[in-house]
Amino acid sequence: MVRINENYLKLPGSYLFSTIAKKVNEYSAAHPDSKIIRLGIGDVTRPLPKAVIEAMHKAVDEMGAAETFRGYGPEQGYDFLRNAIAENDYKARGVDISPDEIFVSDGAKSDCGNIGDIFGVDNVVAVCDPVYPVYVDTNAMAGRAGDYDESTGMWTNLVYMPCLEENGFMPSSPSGRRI
Amino acid sequence: MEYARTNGAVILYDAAYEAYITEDLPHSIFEIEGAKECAIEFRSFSKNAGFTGTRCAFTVIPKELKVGEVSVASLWNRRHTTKFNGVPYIVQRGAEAVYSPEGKAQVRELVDFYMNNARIIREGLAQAGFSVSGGVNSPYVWLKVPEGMTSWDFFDELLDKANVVGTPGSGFGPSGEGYFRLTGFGTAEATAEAIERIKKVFGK
Repeated sequence: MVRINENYLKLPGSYLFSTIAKKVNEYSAAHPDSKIIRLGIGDVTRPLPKAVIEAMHKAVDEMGAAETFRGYGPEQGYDFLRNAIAENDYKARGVDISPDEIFVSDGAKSDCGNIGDIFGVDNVVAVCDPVYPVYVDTNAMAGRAGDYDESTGMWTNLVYMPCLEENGFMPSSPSGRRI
Repeated sequence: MEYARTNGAVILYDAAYEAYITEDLPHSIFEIEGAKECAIEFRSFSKNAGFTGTRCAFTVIPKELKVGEVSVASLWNRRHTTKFNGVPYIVQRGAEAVYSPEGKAQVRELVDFYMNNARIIREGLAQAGFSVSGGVNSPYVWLKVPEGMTSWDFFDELLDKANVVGTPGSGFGPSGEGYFRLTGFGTAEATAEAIERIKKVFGK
């Protein structure tokens, strides 16, 4: 019989923002007249900049003409974008990053979650606490976090770097454990 | 940085919010001496240019980052080319436009807009008697929940009494317990309205 990745069974409940969405939906169903304001998840509300829209419209037109149509592109991103990133985000700030060190993707969340693919499962992972849950959950899925301890809210194999009022919410280096 | 280099660790640096840095601070970890040998940086077009639904980001792995003889970038390249098919051409053209002179000015306006919301939240919460932090170099504001309440208690109370949704700090880890997060990413009207409601319910 097929076996599942049992690390998934160790994850407590659902993803944080899914839990919140569920609670809000239940509340709204019970109180249909309430005008709920959502300041929870960090999703933007302003439309895309005009310059972006214009560029995308133009690109759509290119895709509709045989001479300018594009199929599979380079997985790492087109040179025009990698060059613009290297120039504006790095060179302009005095940092020398070459375009081939830049990998364009569909999201920082995906990349943060996927980066663990290229590192051994037996590495020790340290996280700031509190932190974006994706860093913790993806390591738990990979089997790097050990077990979740309900009583402490912590994973047994993760090193936590607390950000507290006492330290001005600035974590110190992971201590007491060589990573 | 020193810790990472001494211990042979890799720093995974998520800089998705770098556009919100307004004080004179580094925007990239690679502005710090020695980072190229021990850090990977994640960046995004979501929060600066509003790409949360459009989807485009990037990861930077310098050639200098090696584990033994192995270049980390070459492994990521292998993974990326095997498991990912690239961001749509149309979206990448949109992302490129973020760096045009017009694009830069428009992104600045967006960031200023959200940071103004964050300021309204920060000041409003302080007026309502909460102890607040954040909202500077970041579009998020954190408040300390009233004594005796957990983050989730406060979530329920805020939803029930003010019809405002925020994020309980404990959802981000045990040290977040007792804290609560609100975002500056709402509309100006909704943000102002939420703060008025919170003041009415919790104001002293």
